[in-house]
Amino acid sequence: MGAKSTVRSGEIQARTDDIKYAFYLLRRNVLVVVGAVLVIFYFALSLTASYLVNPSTAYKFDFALSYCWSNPSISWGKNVAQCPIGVTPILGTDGFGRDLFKMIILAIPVDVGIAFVVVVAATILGVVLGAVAGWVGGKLDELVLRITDIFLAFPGLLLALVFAAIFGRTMQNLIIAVLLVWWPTYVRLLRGQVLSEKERNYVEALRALGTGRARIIFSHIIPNTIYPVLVQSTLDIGGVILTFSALMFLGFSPNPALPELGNLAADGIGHVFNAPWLIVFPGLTILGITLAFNLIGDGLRDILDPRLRR
Amino acid sequence: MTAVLFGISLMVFYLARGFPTAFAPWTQYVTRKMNAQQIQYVIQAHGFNKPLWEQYLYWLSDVLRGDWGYSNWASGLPTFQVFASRFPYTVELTIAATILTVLIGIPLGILSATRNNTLSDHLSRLVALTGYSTPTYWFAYILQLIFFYYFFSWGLPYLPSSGAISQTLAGTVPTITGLPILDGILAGNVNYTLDAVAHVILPAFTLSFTSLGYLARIVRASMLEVLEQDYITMARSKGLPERIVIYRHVLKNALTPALTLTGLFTASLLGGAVVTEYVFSWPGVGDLSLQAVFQGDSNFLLLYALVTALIIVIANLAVDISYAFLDPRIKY
Amino acid sequence: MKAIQRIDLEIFEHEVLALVGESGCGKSVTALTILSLLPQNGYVAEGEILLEGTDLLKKSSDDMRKVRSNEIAAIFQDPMTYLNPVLSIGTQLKESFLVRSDFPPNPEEVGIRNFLSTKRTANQLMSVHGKKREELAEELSLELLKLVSLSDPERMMHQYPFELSGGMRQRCMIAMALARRPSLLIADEITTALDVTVQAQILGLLKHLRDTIDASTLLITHDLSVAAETADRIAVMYAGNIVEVASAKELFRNPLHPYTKLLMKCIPDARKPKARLESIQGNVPDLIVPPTGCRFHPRCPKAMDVCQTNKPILRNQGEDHLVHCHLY
Repeated sequence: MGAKSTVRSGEIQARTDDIKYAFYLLRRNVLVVVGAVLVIFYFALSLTASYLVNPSTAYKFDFALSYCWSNPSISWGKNVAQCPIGVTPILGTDGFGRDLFKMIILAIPVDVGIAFVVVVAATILGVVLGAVAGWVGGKLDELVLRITDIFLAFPGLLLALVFAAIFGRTMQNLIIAVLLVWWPTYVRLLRGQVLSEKERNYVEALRALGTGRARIIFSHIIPNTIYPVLVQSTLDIGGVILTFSALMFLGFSPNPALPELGNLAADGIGHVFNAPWLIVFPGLTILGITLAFNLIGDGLRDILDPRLRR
Repeated sequence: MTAVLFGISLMVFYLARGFPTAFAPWTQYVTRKMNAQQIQYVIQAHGFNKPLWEQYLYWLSDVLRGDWGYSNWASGLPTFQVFASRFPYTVELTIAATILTVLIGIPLGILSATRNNTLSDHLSRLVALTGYSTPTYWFAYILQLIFFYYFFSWGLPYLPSSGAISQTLAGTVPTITGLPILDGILAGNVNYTLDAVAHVILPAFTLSFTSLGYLARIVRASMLEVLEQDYITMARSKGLPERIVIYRHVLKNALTPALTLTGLFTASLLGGAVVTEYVFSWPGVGDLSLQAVFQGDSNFLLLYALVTALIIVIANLAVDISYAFLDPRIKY
Repeated sequence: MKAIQRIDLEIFEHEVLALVGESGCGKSVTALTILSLLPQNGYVAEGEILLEGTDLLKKSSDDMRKVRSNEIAAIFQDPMTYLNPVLSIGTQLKESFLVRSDFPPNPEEVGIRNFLSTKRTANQLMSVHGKKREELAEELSLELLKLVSLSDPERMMHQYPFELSGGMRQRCMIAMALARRPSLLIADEITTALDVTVQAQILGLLKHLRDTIDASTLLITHDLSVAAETADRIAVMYAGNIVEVASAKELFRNPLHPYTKLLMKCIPDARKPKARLESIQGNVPDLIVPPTGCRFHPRCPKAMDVCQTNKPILRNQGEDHLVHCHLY
């Protein structure tokens, strides 16, 4: 009885030290902290967006106010139209006469939300297909490898474009199109992890004990491979936003008035010199969100890499 | 490898013919000049009245014979010709972007690793991360805005924002390779070459901005790993100046993963080229592929995909060969 | 964590001083500290390291680098990991010659034996064209490789570390150290990674070279028998402290510290093939939370109450035999 409790308290002690050490590492990595703060900011913004700005303003068009700027703090040059007196959009107006600033706020949850959906779905697919392929091996593994090879041979954006062109312009189809670009990475990742874990001693021990294969995969191997998957998905959130907004930008938006960052930027294509804010600010926002997630993902990678620990 | 190419062709074929599209699939092989009778003949000859799997065989034999149909949306020329005439421009852009990536990315990574955890390190990591967090199209427009529009309105020397060569100079040099810069050099025409370089700077920088961040990061990680090795302690114990330790002892070992990555970059550069070429009106294949998607020109897309895959294979081979030079333990 | 609590060591000219102790007692840390090559999280809390009168700890890193290229040379334990895998032996050997600013020496010092035995303090600056330096370095490298008993040196210059055997690599490391004509040679467990036969060869080489090189040697090892064979004086180290220092003969004849006595007992005696193998009770202490007072007291068969509370001082027991124990 006594021996058992000593072991347990030792474990807890070791774990606390782990956490303390992780925090120490965090403090040493300023960039990660900045990233974390930004991510929390964007999350909060996403959740509260519809309270800050009334969603119906996205569909209140007033073409008399199109493409004008009234904020005195930035001057865009000679070709820019001034807004009528009394109208003061913070970041100028777009083609529909809407305040760009408000539209950006409404757009952030759309992009962040879609990114999450895609990454989570890709992870699940990766787990199901990749882990099983890695475990079972043989013909199934070969097949999965070949299929992912084919998908990975295409430059990402082009693939998404092709799918989007074929499936049509509904929101779901676009999300599926982006998902189809991302799932091979996760399948490969999980497969690789399972392959290397499979050879470990504890798996042999578990099999000797007669544990079912599904149980081994899902209750033991997968949790051990969480770290790289976590790093990958954090980094991919930014990547998905980039790809999705690029799709919108290139003209695949289901609805031209949809508040989505790439879509908002698309509005500015024909007006680069007389309404540059339409490209500058939505793009800047995309940059901000992606950078925040990449900062965290990058930092996570450093922290979780056992070899870089000092 | 052939399995992958085969699979690619299957997938593109299925995407092109297996779904209802805006354009009837046989328009791929029909020019505007054909009359109804000729069109009927085309439909028969290419098997459009047969079931899908048979169509694939027709299609495969067409492609292998070199018949890729016509791109009616691109002045009605044969698809293969359209692709081939534009391809060298994309090559020039990709090469320029690769050079920039390596020239900026590697020193950035070295800086980051050697001044680990100082301000320079954090700054270069920030720059690197910003690189691959930036939307390509946004960056392209920003560069255009600043270096073309605003520089012009401020009276500064400005960079051109579209095309690969100025209108006035186009065609003044014999087309040997199809790459403006190379053709200019081969013809000994300094004006032409400089003009071509000026045109490629902005698009190439846009393209490379994403990858150089990633490369810097890999170089940094790899160098940090090498710096911990025993033989570096040994080199330092010899009293060697730190500069020699880094450039003679560390780099050779650390650059291998960076090299692998540069090979992989060719893939993403080819893909990113689509947006960059579009924004800068660069007369390359990526720009066309965008229209090809909208016009349902599946043969064009297939050509694009196959060529891309081939280039990736070649790039990987080149990388493998260069390993033999870097690491004496590897012999072929 | 204090890797080294307190060491007082003196090495005299031309002598071989062996630093003996178990793994983890801080021997390698001593070597790295002298070279000023501690990893980023290590530092010297207090003390001084005097090399021919000048305190190394007070030197700038640039000066320290010069010291490493001219005065102190080290040979490390595992020649596989301490040699750069992608550079040829020739490159790594030549740079040991070329790193010194006073290379090449005067023209009359031709030949490796002359080169090695010349006093380092002589001012021999000659501005020679870069290519000439390279050639001279190449020449001397070949001779040096022959000196360390490596056959076919011309071929070896172009080979890479992975193509050589363990013993050959270690000889290369020795050559690289000798090329710098150090006044202090630090050999950190140089035989540990080798088989016994090769071990004997390397030790024999060191003995052979003693007359050629004008240097003192700090031989770090965990093996008392190695120390017995090669060293003039032996210092025994335990858990970050020196516990006993004496000439080799004296130490074996009259070991004073309990730890030393136990160590001696552990050496299997070839004359008594059927005797049981001895070992020392207990484990090496955890240096994060070391024992109070004398660090050896938990394992000492002669421990007294005072051993738990007070640290003993180094006392001279006659004939330069120093002991660090309350018994004396």
